[in-house]
Amino acid sequence: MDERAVDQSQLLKGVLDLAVLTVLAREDSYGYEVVRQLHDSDLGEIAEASVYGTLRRLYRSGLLTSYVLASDAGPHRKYYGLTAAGRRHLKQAREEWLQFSSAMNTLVEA
Amino acid sequence: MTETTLLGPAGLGYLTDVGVALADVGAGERDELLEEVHEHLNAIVAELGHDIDRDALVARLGPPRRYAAELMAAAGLEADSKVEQQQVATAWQAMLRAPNVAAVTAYLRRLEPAWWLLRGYLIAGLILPWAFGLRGVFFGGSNFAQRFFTHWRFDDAGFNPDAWRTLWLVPIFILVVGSVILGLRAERTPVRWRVTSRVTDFVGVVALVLVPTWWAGSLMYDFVLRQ
Repeated sequence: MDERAVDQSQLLKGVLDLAVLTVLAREDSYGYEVVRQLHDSDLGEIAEASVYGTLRRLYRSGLLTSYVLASDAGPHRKYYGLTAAGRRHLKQAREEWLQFSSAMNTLVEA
Repeated sequence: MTETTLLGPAGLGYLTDVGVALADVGAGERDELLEEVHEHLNAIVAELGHDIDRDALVARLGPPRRYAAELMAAAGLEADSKVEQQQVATAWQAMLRAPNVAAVTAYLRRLEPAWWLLRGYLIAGLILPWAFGLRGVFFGGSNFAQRFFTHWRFDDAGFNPDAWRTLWLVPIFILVVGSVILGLRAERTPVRWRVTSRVTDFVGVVALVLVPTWWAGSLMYDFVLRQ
């Protein structure tokens, strides 16, 4: 991982919860699909293990629900979706992020 | 746990190693995490092919221990000291690679042979007085051998204490040459030489503190005696 990728991954660590919740708010999904969507979002290098760890923590906190579905491509997959508490948390985290990022943009562009 | 047959040997090996690295996690949570890891590896193997080797997995996911540390840290299972240690190690490596630090390190490495010489001399200064009661050998103070031979008036029989003193240059010479050889060997030989060299460095540093202290003490002692 080069230095830029390390910096990006440090930045992402702080907002990984928000990123994962946002992806799952669109539709229920399984770990690897969340990893793929985060990759596709041009967020840079993501420690894939962190995504799986984050899913477990959010699930334990009651923000996610989980269920197992059979897959055509192989073994069954564990799907995650947002609980009501998860949606409330996402709404609040999203507002905080927008406010924070707007303040940061103003700061760095000044 | 889900069936593991699709993973192939590399995937199975990686999964096992992650499992070992998660040994400190409670059994229930560990099983849940391994279930996630298993699903993750399944997806990667399905994407990259079943003949994927371990190197490719490590290139993609990092070593199993780091994978486990990242997983645990993100899962909030502990204030993960392993990840912190890794970050400290990475920061340390980055600091050593920084241009200014690297220049200083390179300069210090060039001075290393001088340290080997000094190290041997200091260790001689540490060992010889204890072995032979020769506090004054290096520092010109009174010494046991000199007093012994003076007392027995061996010098009357043609024994010159000053000539006797120069004999101790031999062990000093051996220790200095030995220290240099050890330093050179430690550069490019097995670990035990490097370990021996590091231990010798440590003894050298101890001697660096003790020997001048003895020296000062010896000079002080002689000064007081002369008053």
